[in-house]
Amino acid sequence: MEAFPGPKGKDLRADVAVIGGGPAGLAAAVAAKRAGAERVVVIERDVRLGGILPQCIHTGFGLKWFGEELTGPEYAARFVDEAASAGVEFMLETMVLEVTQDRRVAAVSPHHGFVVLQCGAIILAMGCRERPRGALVLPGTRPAGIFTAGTAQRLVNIEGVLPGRQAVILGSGDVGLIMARRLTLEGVKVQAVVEIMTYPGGLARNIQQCFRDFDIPLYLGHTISRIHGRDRLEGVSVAPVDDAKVPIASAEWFIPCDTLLLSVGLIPENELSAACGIELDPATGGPVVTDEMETSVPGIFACGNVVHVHDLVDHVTEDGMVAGAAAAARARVAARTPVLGEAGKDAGLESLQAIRTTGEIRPGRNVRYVVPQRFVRHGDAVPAAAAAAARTLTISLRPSEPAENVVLEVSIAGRVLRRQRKQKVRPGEMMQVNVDRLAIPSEKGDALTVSIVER
Amino acid sequence: MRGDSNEFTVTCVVCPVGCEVTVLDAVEVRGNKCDRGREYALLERYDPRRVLTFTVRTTCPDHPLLPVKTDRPIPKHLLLKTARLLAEECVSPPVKAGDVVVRDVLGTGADVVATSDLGGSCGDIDQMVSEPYNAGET
Amino acid sequence: MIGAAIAREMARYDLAVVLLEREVEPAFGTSKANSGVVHAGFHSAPGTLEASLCVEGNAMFDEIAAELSVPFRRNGCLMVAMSPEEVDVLREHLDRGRRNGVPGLRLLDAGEARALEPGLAPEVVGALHAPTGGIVCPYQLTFALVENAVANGVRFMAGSPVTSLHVREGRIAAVETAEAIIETTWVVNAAGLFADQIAAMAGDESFEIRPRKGEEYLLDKRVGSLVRSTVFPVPTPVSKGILVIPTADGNIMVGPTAEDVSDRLDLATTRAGFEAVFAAARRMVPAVSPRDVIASFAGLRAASSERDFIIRPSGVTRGMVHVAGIESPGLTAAPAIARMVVGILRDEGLEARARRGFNPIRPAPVRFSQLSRAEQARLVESDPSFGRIVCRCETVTEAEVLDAIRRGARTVDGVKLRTRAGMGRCQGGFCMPRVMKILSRELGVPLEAITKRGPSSPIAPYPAKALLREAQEEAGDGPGPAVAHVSHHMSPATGR
Repeated sequence: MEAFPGPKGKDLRADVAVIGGGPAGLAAAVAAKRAGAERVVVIERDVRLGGILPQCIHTGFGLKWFGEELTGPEYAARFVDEAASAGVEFMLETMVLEVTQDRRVAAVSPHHGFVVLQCGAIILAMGCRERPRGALVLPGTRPAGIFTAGTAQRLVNIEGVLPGRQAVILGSGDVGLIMARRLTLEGVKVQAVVEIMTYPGGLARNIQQCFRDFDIPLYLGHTISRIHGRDRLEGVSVAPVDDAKVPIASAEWFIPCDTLLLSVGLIPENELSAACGIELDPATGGPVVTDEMETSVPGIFACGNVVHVHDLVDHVTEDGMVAGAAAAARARVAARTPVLGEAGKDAGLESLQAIRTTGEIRPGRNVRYVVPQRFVRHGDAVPAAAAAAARTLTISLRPSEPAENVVLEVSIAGRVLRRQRKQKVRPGEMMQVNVDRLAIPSEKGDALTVSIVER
Repeated sequence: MRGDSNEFTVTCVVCPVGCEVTVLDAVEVRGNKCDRGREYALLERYDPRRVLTFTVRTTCPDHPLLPVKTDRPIPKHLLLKTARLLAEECVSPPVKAGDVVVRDVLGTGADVVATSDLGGSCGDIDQMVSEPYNAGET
Repeated sequence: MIGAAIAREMARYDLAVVLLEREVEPAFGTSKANSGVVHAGFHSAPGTLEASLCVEGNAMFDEIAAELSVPFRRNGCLMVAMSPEEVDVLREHLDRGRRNGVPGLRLLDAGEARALEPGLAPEVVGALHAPTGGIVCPYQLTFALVENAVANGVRFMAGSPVTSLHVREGRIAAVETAEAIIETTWVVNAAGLFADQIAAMAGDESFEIRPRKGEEYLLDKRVGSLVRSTVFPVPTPVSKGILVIPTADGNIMVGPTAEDVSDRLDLATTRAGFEAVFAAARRMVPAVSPRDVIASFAGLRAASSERDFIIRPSGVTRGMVHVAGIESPGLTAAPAIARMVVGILRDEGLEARARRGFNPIRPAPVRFSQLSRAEQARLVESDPSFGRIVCRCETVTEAEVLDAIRRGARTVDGVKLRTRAGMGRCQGGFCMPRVMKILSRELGVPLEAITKRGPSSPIAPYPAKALLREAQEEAGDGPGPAVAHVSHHMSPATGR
């Protein structure tokens, strides 16, 4: 990006810029402030803060973090209040166009015009988007009445319109289940939930509450094989799938409906990250991060759903707290060494990077991905008497396949560091395992591997 | 979930284990690994309750809906009836999160409360935002 | 497209012209599904209208694209051969093209073909290269033609299917729609899929339209550089085959299939079509992958009972000129067809004097995403609605959406096709509610009245609580036992 000054030729700086004012960004901003960063700015594209939370009017948020069961708006409000009273600044209706490796952020807004911020550290918290119909290659017509579940949720809960009166939902992930319940309570007849896998996708409590309560038929191992209706949806053909997940046409039947909700996957929103040259992990769709949530570009951090899709907002908050504190520390270093080296890279951060080495964390058997993918090797720098938190390395992971009676293992160079029994594991429920850093041998080179094995 | 005759089976959601618990009658419960599971199953069988989260229309063109919830779980069989009742409601600003929108809804003892603020006057929503970013300063 | 091109051409003359479109916006028929290829002209049989109008039209594209500010580039067409027999076919087409007057045609061997297109399959043994082949955005072109026609005095009536034609003493006397009766003695029938029905309204049953469906699959811009030229297989008797097309917007598109259908509104994509498209495309360009699909759609070619374009005055009713059965290379031929039609009308007796003040230039719409940061900043500082990004994936601003509405967009698809809002990776997941709200505000209609592409495609047709209140009325329930309300009963912002 060419160098371009802010409005009226003035330079704009922030110690920490947070891109995204959802739960991840808000937590990161709060943590950055608590860790002493002076100027923390949250850049949010919508007219309100909270990210996806304002449209999540249901409960289920905050059980871990607050020990209370809150709705999305209530959870968001807690962090907005705290951020505001801590002195975090907000730019609303502001869309970031570009993030550079030398930590500049270009953004546009009807209120602030075209701004370029030079930052000590940047935290990416853009969340995720939904997989659309186009990516599914669903045969049939292109009528009105087909929505991704989140877009329907926005229309129903924020904009004040209903998509239709008779719905089918494709995908039994949490968003789909929640919308099945929501639509039913708004008087919509939900005809069926169709799930291609042989097991439901969402959290058990959502499966229970969202459609067992309303006796909505759930068709596992099925998919939608065709869309009907020229200008407005008239119905869908549903069919069981074979082992290759291909619909068995001979077993197809027609379900009339005027609304189809797609809940078929969330994809971390990393357009800005990719354009910046940040290394992405194909297994998560998000940036490769260290346990401090730092990406492959020094001084750029990431947290929340932009890193990988979480199930609980409480975990998003945890991520954000880590990223915010680490970013604040980074920003202090950047402030002390403002000299830009060759190619515009920050000499101060680069040298810091060189001193610290990172080890790799890899997904092993039956593990689809791990986050973080790297961890900072403090070596002898972690005092034995350090706080438990500093000694603990927390790894988040998802299994590739559901399994029962298994053992979660963290090993390095063939040696098992940690073993945990698990009765049930499901791809729809993220797990976490803690490893004592002091137990990690200090030789560089070998990766920590996380596996799920039979007992 | 409905078994034969009076048998009732439910997957407990209190903890991640997810026991399949069967209630045979008001006393006999099988499949639970702990007391919380037993309690959960009994309640689900004899007095299932849910918190209703919902939206209520407002007079604000820019913010046409206010999210609300019942402040405690209400009987499951009253969810749709409560929804229909709330569909007739309409609120005007200012509203603060926690304000009661409908008291003792359908005689359940539960109040329906706002879960978000609705600003001082329409078109000027209280965004809980402090001073906006000061773009003019270095 | 064809009608729009003719109307714009006719706007050069001092004539009262009305352009009638059955859909609510231009291009909503077949035109938006066009693959956008500007053909070189080596496919058509020499001596046909198709052949001469294609070559003539192709040569006019630089000027027309510049005048109308429509994205167009000459990326070249490459017909590839996978066997010695197919190389013979290439030679036939080289000859054919030369006879049609196509400039710059040459045969390439395998090495030359691959040097030009590194993505070609190793099985490609040779290719025919046509450097004059190009790629344009078909709906942008259609919108631009209509805008320029209207700016030059043409009256455009959308959502106006013709219901009948009045004929007096063997001559056209008027055209009737649901809303109007337009007195006229001249009608140009460019009604695409319905051209035979229009002709029949004037007693002319000399041809039949036999729709032929084509499915297309759009790939992510991420793989946009798979090919640079438009890659063709050796053609079939019925169609040019399944192509690999680098679109004017930077996507790759593969298709179309060719399937005769009886329903002239059948726009369904199929599993079989999907498999056929990818098998054919991957045969020529192996890196084409279904995993990169972001959208798919189908279009209907207005194929007719005749082999060539039907561009002639009606033999039954005077004053009517048919421009029918315009399938590929119809887009390419459009500017030349328009000229030819004016010529026919004049031959038939229409007096057409040049209009003074005809302005061929259409002001270019802003494409914010393609500007430099400095230009973007300038725009944002001058107009805050450039600072509001509506579509994140394609970086479309509110200003562009407002401009699209000013230029005639009335529907979500109309905004989408003009601005690209909703055509990116998330396919409208983020921007659709926002576009709906802007349309609602600008058109002064409630959100529930906003449609995808016209009155029969409303998006979210029920205001909040409408279904519950309906159920309540039906059930005859009152609001239940007396409850203490905190709120006052005031009129809600949504619904009745």
